[in-house]
Amino acid sequence: MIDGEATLTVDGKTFEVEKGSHFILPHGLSDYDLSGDAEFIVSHV
Amino acid sequence: MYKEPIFLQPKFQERIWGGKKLHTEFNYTIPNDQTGEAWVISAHPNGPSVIKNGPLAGKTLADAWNDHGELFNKSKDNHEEYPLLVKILDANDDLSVQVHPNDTYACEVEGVPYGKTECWYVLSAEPGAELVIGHHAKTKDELTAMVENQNWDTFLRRVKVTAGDFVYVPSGTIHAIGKGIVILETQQSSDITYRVYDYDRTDSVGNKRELHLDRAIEVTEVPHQDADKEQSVSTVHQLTVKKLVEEKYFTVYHWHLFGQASELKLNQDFLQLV
Repeated sequence: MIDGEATLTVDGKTFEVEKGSHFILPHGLSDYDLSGDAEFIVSHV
Repeated sequence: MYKEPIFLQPKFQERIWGGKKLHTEFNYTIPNDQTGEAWVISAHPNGPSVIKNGPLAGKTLADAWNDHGELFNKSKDNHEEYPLLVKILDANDDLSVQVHPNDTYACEVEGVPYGKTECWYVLSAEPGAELVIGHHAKTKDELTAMVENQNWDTFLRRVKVTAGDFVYVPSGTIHAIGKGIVILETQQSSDITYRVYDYDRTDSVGNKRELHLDRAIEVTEVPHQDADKEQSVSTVHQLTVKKLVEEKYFTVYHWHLFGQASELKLNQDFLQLV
């Protein structure tokens, strides 16, 4: 994450993410929610 | 196997042009004051990221790709390496002027699977900071002469940048990231670089870094063509998605979250968020 703070909710679990966090959403992940004020650079093949 | 995101531990790279901003701006614990690169999503053998959570905690992203292809919707007959690499670079000094080969050249000459097409999102830039992107030679002969005669001011195409700028850098493009720029780079998972010019710098023991002029001249596209990409913007709930580039090797977006975005769907094989 390139700026801000956010909460990511997937499958009933919440993850606090902030500037400097980085992660992969793997195949088969259920729908997810984001809340907060944040900027990301997002990529895929 | 994973019903949660896969968080990764970055791999840091010391560079003669590196600095401290990966700590001061991103709060990473960096190994020293010349830290040039954080490889934040990497399965490359020169700096693989390690998984921080879930059943594969402690394994590298390369292990996950090789042994748990289902996490990436990888087909059984795909034996290639993880395709992408994401870095954050702190250019406390100028990076060398360089160029990367395409897939065919990388495979035939270097024996590695991927060439290197890359793209940059400028995270911060000091006033007046510049990139090199492309050159002014019109023919291969002119390019060869300009490089051999070291006519850098005539040869190199310099562009000023500010935070939020985006640059697409296909393989074969002469380029350099200039002093005072922090950049996020999304690229093919390759570490093949042909260095053209390094400002005659020496390291702490007086050695210059190697140049690779013959190969650089061979792989450089002439004339340079600027790759202007159309950027589309859409907003879903309180998430604005700007598509920065959609090309053969990757699609890259800027996401701006300003509240709540619910029931987002993962429509791709896997998604990298940095």
